[in-house]
Amino acid sequence: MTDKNRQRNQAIVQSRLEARNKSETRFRLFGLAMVGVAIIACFMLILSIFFQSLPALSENRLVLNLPLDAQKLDPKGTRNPQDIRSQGDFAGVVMDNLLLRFPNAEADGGYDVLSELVSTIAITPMAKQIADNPNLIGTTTPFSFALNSDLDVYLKGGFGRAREGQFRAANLNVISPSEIELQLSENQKLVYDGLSQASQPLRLDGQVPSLLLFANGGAFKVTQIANGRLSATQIIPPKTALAATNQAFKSASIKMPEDGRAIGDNMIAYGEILQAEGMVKARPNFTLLANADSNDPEMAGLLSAMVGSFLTLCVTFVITVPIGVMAAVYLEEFAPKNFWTDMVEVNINNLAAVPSIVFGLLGFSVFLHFFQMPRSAPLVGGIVLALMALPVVIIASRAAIKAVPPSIREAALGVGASKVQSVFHHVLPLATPGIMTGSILAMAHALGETAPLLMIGMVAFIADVPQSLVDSSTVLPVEIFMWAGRPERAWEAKTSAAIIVLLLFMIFINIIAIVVRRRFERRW
Amino acid sequence: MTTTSMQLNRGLEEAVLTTQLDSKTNIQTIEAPKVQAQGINVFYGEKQALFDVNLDMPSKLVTAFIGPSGCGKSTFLRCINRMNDTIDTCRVDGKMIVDGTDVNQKSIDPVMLRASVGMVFQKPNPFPKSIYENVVYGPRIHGLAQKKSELDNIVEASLRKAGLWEEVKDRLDQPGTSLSGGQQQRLVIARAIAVDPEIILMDEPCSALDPIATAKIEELIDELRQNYCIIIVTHSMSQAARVSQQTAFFHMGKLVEAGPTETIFTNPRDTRTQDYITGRFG
Repeated sequence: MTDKNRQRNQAIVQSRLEARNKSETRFRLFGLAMVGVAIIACFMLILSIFFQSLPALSENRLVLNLPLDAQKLDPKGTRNPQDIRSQGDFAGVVMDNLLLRFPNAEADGGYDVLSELVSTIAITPMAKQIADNPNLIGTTTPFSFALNSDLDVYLKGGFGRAREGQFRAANLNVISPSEIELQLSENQKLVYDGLSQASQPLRLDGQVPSLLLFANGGAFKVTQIANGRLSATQIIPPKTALAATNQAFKSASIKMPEDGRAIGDNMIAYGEILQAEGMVKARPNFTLLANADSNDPEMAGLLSAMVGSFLTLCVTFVITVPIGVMAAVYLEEFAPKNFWTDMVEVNINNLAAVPSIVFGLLGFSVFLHFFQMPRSAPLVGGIVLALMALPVVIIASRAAIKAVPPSIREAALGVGASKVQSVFHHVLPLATPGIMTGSILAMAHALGETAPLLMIGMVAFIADVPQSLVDSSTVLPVEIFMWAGRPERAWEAKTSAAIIVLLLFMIFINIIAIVVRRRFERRW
Repeated sequence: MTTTSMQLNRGLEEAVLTTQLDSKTNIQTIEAPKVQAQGINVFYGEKQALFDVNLDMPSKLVTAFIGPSGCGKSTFLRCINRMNDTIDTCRVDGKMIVDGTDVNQKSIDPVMLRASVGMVFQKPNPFPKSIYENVVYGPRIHGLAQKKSELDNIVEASLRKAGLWEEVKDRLDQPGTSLSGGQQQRLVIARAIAVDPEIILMDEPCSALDPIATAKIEELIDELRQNYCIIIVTHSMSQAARVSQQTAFFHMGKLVEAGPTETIFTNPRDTRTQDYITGRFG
């Protein structure tokens, strides 16, 4: 009887065993799949941000060897920095130099384009350098200027820039000083959206992609294509006359129609020539890290936001960690267990779940309104973020303190240590890795926080690097938020680059957390 | 009222344990005891863990507490150095007289008390610091020694007394947690000795150790007895028989019987004691 029962039981176990093993395998595969999806998503996110930010990692600069004319820069001749700053015609010096290369610009309307190459703000570093060092006047000194951001974007491949390379014209007629007509050689094809061989004449107005031609230092804009025959208007006159036959051309097409972009074909023509002749050079984008915010994307940088974030986090750290750790020590080691401590505990847990913008409102009404503290200041931002991070730090610290084995406390008390001594000599050092990890992760969270700071005015345009805790300032995530909303094309890449800087900050903080944990980790 | 006088063997020199056993309560009294418990009641919240325990513990002898799990012997041990204070819900009534002073008075500082009543726990619990730091921690917080040389002397003396010096003298800077279980327990004993207590409480000091380490600790207890009053809680009756001169049997929170170890093991007066030591329960 029992043998029969046993056999029956074994059969049941056997029959279910396969299903159980299968379900275990399934569960494991699900887990692996989830981890895989998470890793891929994370990877894609980082890759997409990285590729979007690529254009912002380098910048094109206009490099000019400028003879610094005393008449223009210091008309009074005092060599006084004040006078140089207020009366020097720096833009004029730059323009004069550009006109040496493009002498016809004043006559054919290229002057306006040239004056837009370098913005007023982009000239100020040169002005400052000369004013600080008046001895430069009279010498010939190389300067480099941040290039107009739209042209910069174009030169990095924006607006659908495509260089189709070279071709030769079979014959070429100069119809008027500003118009040419040319026939492509038999075996040469001009790839222009596949339409170069179209029998119908194609008019190139502002609604279709543009085609620019370059030869002998001059630039032309194609206006019509028919049967391999091109009509073009002159933008920049060539240095030497074009040959009637077999003239070599370089071509560039811009996929985005002229009406749809912020940068005109004329500007692009000047940019292409300046780049081809080595007056526009690319270099790693130091501006992004060295400058404060600006309305001109080519001059905007993250320095003020980085300093603001640093100052704000310092305030947050200095407030949160001591208060949080002490509160955790008291609650865990000293507080009696009664109704009131239960209430405190419940409320701390609830506070950790309060939406962050509520802390911003609190900061606005309490610190700005009631205490009359300065707006937009890292001090107030730090306090608000500290309030937000405090519950998290307390909860993490309590968990770390709870994890210290009671035998260590007993050992200390057993040799006659007082309660405070047992906590500070033994429990806290052992809880330090956990406390620091929790605190640093709370700091990382605070670093990425935007909403509460909007409420206390840290969303302002700050063109100066904050010097103290009460100076107006902004922080990285808010800067990203503001940049993302600005209209020029260059902000797109800049925003991604700023996100990368923020992520690097985060990674740095997390590495600190790991190092601290490794450093203080002890086994018992 | 009967008076029993007996000479204890096992290398005991002149120590004479004079006990007076009360025929009704089985409670013995000792002349000039080091520790005297009078009417100790312990409560954990609503639950009473110890009922009216009266017991005298002599100096320079080993007293062992035996009894089944949960009988209150550890609780009673922790009353002697007021370790029960660290448990919020725990309340202790009665008098615990150590050297003629009731330590349960409010005016007695438990820190002061624990400086003269050392304690060794069930699981070896060295601090996660160096061997040296483990031993000097007590003397340092009590301010017993200031100079490095004094501390060094304390470390050597304590480790020698704990029989660990020869094994660790070359690696005092290594973490105490790197030692084996038996060595750790001897390190903990050295740590307790370092503050020069008069009484050493041991709460099942060998329950986590193998027989060889246990034998070493028992040997050590026997040596230490000459200078300290040792009170040990143990699950092992053979250990109680080996190391102690006085044994107290606890059951269900009550002290059932106490007396010279030989008497308890050979001629117990209470049937519960009889049943326990013969292995009928527990």
